[in-house]
Amino acid sequence: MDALERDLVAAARQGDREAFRVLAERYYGRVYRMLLGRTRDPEAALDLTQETFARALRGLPQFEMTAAFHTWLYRIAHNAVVDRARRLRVHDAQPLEDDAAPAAADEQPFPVGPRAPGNPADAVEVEESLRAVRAALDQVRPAYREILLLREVEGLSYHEIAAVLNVRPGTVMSRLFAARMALREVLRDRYGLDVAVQER
Amino acid sequence: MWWRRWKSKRAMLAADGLRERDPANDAEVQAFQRLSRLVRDAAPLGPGEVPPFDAVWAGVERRLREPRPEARTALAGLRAMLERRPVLVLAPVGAMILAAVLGVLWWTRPAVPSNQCFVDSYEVESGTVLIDQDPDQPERPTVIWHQVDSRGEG
Amino acid sequence: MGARRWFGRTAVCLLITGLLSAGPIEALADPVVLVRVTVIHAKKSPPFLHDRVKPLWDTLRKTFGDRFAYYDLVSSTEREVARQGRVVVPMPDGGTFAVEYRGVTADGRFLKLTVVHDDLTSRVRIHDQGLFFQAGKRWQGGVLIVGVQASSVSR
Repeated sequence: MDALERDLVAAARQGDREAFRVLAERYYGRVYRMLLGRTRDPEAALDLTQETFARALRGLPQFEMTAAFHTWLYRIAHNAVVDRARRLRVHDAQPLEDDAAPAAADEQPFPVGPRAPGNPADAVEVEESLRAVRAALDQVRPAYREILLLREVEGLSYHEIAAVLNVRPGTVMSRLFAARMALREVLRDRYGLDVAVQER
Repeated sequence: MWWRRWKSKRAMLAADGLRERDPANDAEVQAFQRLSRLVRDAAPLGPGEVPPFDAVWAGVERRLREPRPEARTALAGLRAMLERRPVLVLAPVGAMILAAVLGVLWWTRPAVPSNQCFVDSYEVESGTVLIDQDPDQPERPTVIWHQVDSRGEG
Repeated sequence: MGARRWFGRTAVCLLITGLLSAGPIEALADPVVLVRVTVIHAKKSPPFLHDRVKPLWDTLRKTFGDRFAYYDLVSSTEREVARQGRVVVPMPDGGTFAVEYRGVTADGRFLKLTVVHDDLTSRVRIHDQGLFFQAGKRWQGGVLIVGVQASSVSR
């Protein structure tokens, strides 16, 4: 936590709504991205992002300044997702989209971002790989997608992920391994993309 | 095979920088690194795909204006849980009822009097005395056999 | 309110006084016991069970196994006795069976009895409501079994 963030959090804890607003503006994109990755529903992700920050503001007195603020936000977001899933009776244990037909690559089932290296000869192939990854991410269990995003995109350590998901670091390792293997399997079996094969 | 999974897991930890890289398993380490890179490159949102902050904040403020949901009473929580996950409620309740019934049966069971008997001494003028008892069965009465002649049935 | 509190305190004082005073006196006194002496004629055969022996059937079976199949009631005597009290029962072979109650053991766990049957005198300790048998005297093609049970009636 940098000095500015610490000051903002301290001020927000004292009831400074504007300080909290600055913090929210700083982190809402990451929280939204995580929630969108988990829910795959922009409307739900927006709703949950708002819920996350409302809960965060109410729960600020309980926030321990020793923890990273964004990790704490992810944890609230994760709990909000879990609560929503309970409300909707949607559980990860359900057979998810594994049996469904793979999404067509051009449907962009996963949000598309900035890409592609400069070499035009490889650009098409790289873009195809990324499309395949987005589609494959869409087809693994939400819990796997969540942990993959927390690790690969948000860059959280195993311990930080454990704090967010409220599980032990050992569980993080197991779940992350299962998630990566599941993603590799989908990529290989449905999109012919085997990450174990050396790139040219 | 479990050992392949084990090796693969070690490779994943090496790819994440949590273990030393094993040269013999380097291909697998690279596979995990490639996967991470692909996910990292594929996932980020473009600038137009994140909703404007003002829209998010408006929703936050609206929520903050709303009265906080009342703390659910234990009973209401139980009812909600019963609707959502009946097994989670019914199983412990059933177990508690069963335990209570077993407890009542146990405490109200007819007391079996102990027939433990200690023969401290005996005096006899004729015949043989035999004490027949089973220390492992205190409910089985002791028998003091007094055999007056050798043809006795004891 | 004051009266209620006064009554409450008085009741507690009385209870404590009662416990302190009555406890040791009661502990010193031996209870009166009910001594039950059941005389049974047992044989190998024919199979028979007297109606009044039926409540004892399970116990007899456990104790004597298949040694006997015939159980006839000769007599059943019950008497309340205080310490040093005796119950004397005439036996069908002309002898006597006597039980003397000698009070409870110091730890209060057992009742002490002395049993005299002809020339055998034995001293035993049994639990309250405990039962034991004395057997072996031959009579009319079988043996005589005497069941002795003692239960405290008061303390």
